[in-house]
Order: sequence, then C-alpha cells, then structure tokens
Amino acid sequence: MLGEFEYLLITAAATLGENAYGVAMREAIVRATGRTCSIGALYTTLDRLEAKGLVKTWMGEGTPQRGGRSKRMVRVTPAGTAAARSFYDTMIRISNRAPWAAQRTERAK
Amino acid sequence: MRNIAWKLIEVMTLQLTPKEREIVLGDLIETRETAWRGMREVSGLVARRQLQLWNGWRPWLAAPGLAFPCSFMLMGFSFAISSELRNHFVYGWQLSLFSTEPVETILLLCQVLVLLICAWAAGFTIESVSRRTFVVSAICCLLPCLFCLLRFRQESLPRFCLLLFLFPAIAGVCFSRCGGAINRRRALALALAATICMAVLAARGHLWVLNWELIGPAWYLAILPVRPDRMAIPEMRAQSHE
Repeated sequence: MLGEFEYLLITAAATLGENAYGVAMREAIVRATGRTCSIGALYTTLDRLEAKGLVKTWMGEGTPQRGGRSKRMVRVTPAGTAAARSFYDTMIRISNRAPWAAQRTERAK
Repeated sequence: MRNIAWKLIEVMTLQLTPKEREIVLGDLIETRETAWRGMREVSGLVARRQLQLWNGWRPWLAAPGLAFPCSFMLMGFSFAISSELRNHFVYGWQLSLFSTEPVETILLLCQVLVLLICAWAAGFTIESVSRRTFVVSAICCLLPCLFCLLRFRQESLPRFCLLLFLFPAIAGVCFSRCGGAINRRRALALALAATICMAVLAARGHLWVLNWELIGPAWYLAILPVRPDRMAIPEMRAQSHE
C-alpha cells in the first residue's frame, strides 16, 4: 500500500497530466495540504515510486523561467493509478463511520 | 551576497548527479527561492542522497570494512619497513640475497611487496566498490593516520614514515578513477604474490594474525572478474536512473 506522501505525489501528477513536473507538483501539494514540500522529499519519493513502477519520469525541455534548465517530467503508470485508487478506496472505507466523516456528510446534506 | 550564496548552492549541487543538478537548479530558479532557502533545500536533498547510498553493502565494505582497518595495519608495515631500512642505512647496506643475512633481506622484500600490493589493491578496491562515498572512505583511512601521527614517539624515525603506504594506495585510487582495469590473471598473480609474502612473514613470526585481512582486497579483485565499471554497476544504474 502507498504511503501518504506517495499518494499525494501520484495524485498531484495525475491531476496535472501533461504538465506534471517537480515545481508544479510541489505547488499542488502545498496548495492542497498547506504544508511545505521540500525538494529532497519530492525527488527521493519520486525515485522510490519510479523504482516501484508507479510513475515514469524523464527529462523535459528547459524553459526561460528556469534559465534554460531541464524539468523532470512525471507520468503516472497504470500500476500507479491502480495503487492510488486502492489507497483512496481504503481511506474511504475506513473513514466511513468515523465521526469527522459523518459530520462532513451531514454538512454536505 | 546573492551571487556568493548562489555559487555556494552550485557547489553543493556538485554532490548530485549531473541530471539531478540540472533539475534542482532549474527548480530553484523557477520558484525564485531565497538563497538561504535554496541552500536548505539543496542540502536536504544532498543529505538524503548520501544517506541512500548507505543502504547498500558497498559503502560499508569500503569505509569501515577496508579503509579503516587496512589503514592501521598498513601503517604497521610502513613503520616496520622504515625501521628495517634505517637499520640497513645505519649498519651498512646489505640488500643482497648473497649477503651474510639473506633471510632478513628476504623478509624486508616481502614486507615491501605486501605493502605495495595490499595498499594498491585496497585503494583500487575502495574506489571501485563505492565511488560516491569515497570521501567517507578517505576520512576512515586518514583518521587512524592522524591518531598514530599524534602518538608517534619514535625519535630515530620521522613520524611521516607511517604514511609510506599512502603512495601505493593513492596510485590504486587514481588508477581506478581513471577507468583503469585489471584483468583476472594479473589480479590473481598479485593476490598470490601477496599471500606468499604474508605466509613467509607469518612463518618467521613477523605477522600479526589480523594482518591477513590485508590480502582481502587483492583476492577480491582476483576472484571477482571485475572492472571498475562492473563493480560499480548498482551505483551507475542509480546515477543513470536519477
């Protein structure tokens, strides 16, 4: 099963689609969680996910905003999608009767 | 000030692979991080990468497994050879197999051979086995040297005689770093020569039992049909992966 941060990375990459790369993923995670995401945590976790075959990364082209330096582009593999879906389903199942989940459901109603 | 900090960041990123360096510097430029935060980010990544290297067995073999103990033992050989040579110089040069004491000369030659072969093989193996943690291996080698240099009390010899072994060891490191390869036959010949010399020294009571570890690197090279690039396969893969 995925770890929390691994799930965040895969979800950010899947959401960003073709534009998924280091900086964009960090910004997405910071926006969603309100926590900082260090470069070290990002790239070491990406390596781990790639080693597990859950994402694929490659060197993208440089842009003027980056001083012409390359990006590390990320794409979620089918195995990554399956792992993220499994994590999400598990979280939903286990949270189903939790008080905070019930309150949230009532608020939604 | 910002330029100096940026230079510092660039120097720190030299610890990363070229691809990762490119990506990280690009990220820092794009996000317009402050110099202090940029340094913190890069140092965090470098620290994580260095720690990752220690997940495998190679750095452990190279640094505490070989560099540290071999340094101690080779200093012993350096000291013994220096003492013998000093005696020869003081009491007359008798480096001839036909001299009145050929056994002493043979023992001296054996010690010199062991020092040369084992120090070279250790340097070569340490560099080849774990190239990216070489700095730690070097520290593991130099700490015992510093310890012994500070405690050296022999007045008739210069204290730097302890460091004789560093010359062949550095030669081995440089050979490996330049991509040098040693074929199996030569490695086997070196390992056999070192073992025979050690056996001769042991037979004459000139050897401490732990000194046998010194022939480890030579036999490692002989038994594994290795070239530096082959020995570093997992690391190279990791590098290309990154």
